[in-house]
Amino acid sequence: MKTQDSFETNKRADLSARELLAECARNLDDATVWEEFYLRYRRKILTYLWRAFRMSGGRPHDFLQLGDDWVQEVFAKLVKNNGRAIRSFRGLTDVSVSAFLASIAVSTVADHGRSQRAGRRRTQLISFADVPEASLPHGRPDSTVSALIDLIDVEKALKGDEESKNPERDLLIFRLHFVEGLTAREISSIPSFKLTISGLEKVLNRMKNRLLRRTQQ
Amino acid sequence: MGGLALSHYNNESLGDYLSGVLSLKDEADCERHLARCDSCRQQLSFLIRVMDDDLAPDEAAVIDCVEAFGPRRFPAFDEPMTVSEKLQSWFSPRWRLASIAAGLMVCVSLALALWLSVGSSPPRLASIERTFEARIADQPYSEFIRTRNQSRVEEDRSGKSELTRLRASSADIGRFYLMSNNFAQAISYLETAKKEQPASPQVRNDLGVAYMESGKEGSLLRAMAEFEEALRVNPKYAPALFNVALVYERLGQFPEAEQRLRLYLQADQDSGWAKEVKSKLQASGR
Repeated sequence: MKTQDSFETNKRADLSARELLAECARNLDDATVWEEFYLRYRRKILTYLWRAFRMSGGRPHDFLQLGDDWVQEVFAKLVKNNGRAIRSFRGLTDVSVSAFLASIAVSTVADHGRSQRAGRRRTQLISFADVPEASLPHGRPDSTVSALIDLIDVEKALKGDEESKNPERDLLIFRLHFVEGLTAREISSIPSFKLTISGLEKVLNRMKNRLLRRTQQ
Repeated sequence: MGGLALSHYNNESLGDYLSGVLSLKDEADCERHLARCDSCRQQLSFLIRVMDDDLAPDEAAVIDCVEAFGPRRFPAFDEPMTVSEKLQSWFSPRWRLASIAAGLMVCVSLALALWLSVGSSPPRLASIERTFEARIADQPYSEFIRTRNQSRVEEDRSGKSELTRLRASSADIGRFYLMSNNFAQAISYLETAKKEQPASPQVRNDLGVAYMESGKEGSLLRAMAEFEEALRVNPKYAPALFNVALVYERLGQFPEAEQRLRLYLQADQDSGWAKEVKSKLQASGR
C-alpha cells in the first residue's frame, strides 16, 4: 500500500500544470491531488495577488494581513458551486493555467476593492476593471509619439510601411508599447513575435520614425 | 479557436496565445483582434504584468513575508466532508464570525503583551543579539562577537515575526530583514520607508546600516550619506554618530573615525555602546 502511495505521489508530482488542474477538476474530493496543487501554486497565486493588489494601489503592509486569506479565497472560488470555475478551464498549456489562476487572483483582489469601496461610500460604485488601468505602472512611452497618436491614424500609417513584413503585428506591438505602456522586455515575452528585446526596440524605433516622417510630410 | 476572433478573448485563450500554441491562422486572428480591441489588449497587458516570471526583489520580499508569517494550512482533508464543502464551510458566515472573534482575542492579547513590553523600554530589540557591528536604531547594547556562522541568529529571529507582522510598516519589515541579515530585502523596504518618512533619523540610520553591512561596491558611501542625513535631522543621534565612525574606520580614514568616536562620547558616555567606543579609542592608542 505504501508503495502504491508513493507511486501515486510521484505520478502527481510529474503531472504538468494543465494535467494537475484537470485532475483537481475531476476529483474535487481528492485531498492529495488538491494538496499537490496547493503546494505547487500557493506562492505563484500569492505573487499574482500581490501584483494585482499593488497595481490597484495596495500597500505591502496591508497585503501582509490580507494575502493569506486571499489565497484561501482563490481556492474557495475554484471549488465552489461544485467546481464550476475549475471545470470551466479549457486552456491548452501551463501558461494558460497561469493565466487562469491569475484571472481568479485578480478577481479576488477586485472583490476586495469593491467591498472596500462599497463600505466607504455606497453611492459611488466604480468598476474594478477601471482601477488597474488607471493605476498601472505604465511605462513612459515617448511623449512625442503619445502626442502623435492623437493626431494621426496610426493604423493607416503603419500599413503603408513598406519596410514592415507584418504591419498587423506591428500595429499590435505599437499599441502594446505606446498605448498600454508595456516595456520591450514585456512585449518580447510574447512568443509569436519571435523577437529579442533589442529586436523589439528596433521595430519600435522604426515605427516611431515612420510616424514622425509622416507628420512632417 | 478560429471563431475567437469574432468575440472577445478570455484569459485562458489569452494564456494560449501567450504560450504560443495557437495555429498560425488563429495567432494572426488573435493579433488582429488585439490590435483593435482595447479591452482585450488591456487584459493581455494586465496578464503579462501579473504573470511576469521575474520576481523583483521588492516583490519577493513581500511574498517571503506573507509566507514567513505562519501561512495558514489548506483546510484539513481527513474528514468525510468533501474538499469543496470544507472550503465553502471554511468561508461560511459562522466560521467567519468565529475567526473574527478569535482574531480579536489574539490581537487584544498581543496588544497587551506589546504594551507591557513597550512599557519597559527598550521595546522590540531587547533580546536581539548583534549580528553585525553597526548599530540599528533603538538597539540596546550587546557585545559584538565576530562569527562566520549566522544560522543561530536566523533561528532566533522567527519568534519576532508575528510581532513584526502586527505592526508591519515598511520600516518595521525592513528592520526585520535587517535583523535577519537579509540586507537586499532590508534596503528595498527601508528605501520605501525613507520615502514615507524622509525626516526620520531612525529610518535613515537603519537604511545606512543595511547598505553598510551589505558589503556591495559603493555601499559604504551610500551608508555614509544616510547617516549624515540622520545627523542633519538630529546632530546628537547616537546610533548614526556611532555608525559614521565605523564607516570611516572601514574606509581606512582613521583620524576622521577617531574624531567621530570622540563626538559620540559627547552624546553618550555611560552606555555599553560608549564603553565600546572608549575601548576602540584605547585600542588605537589614542
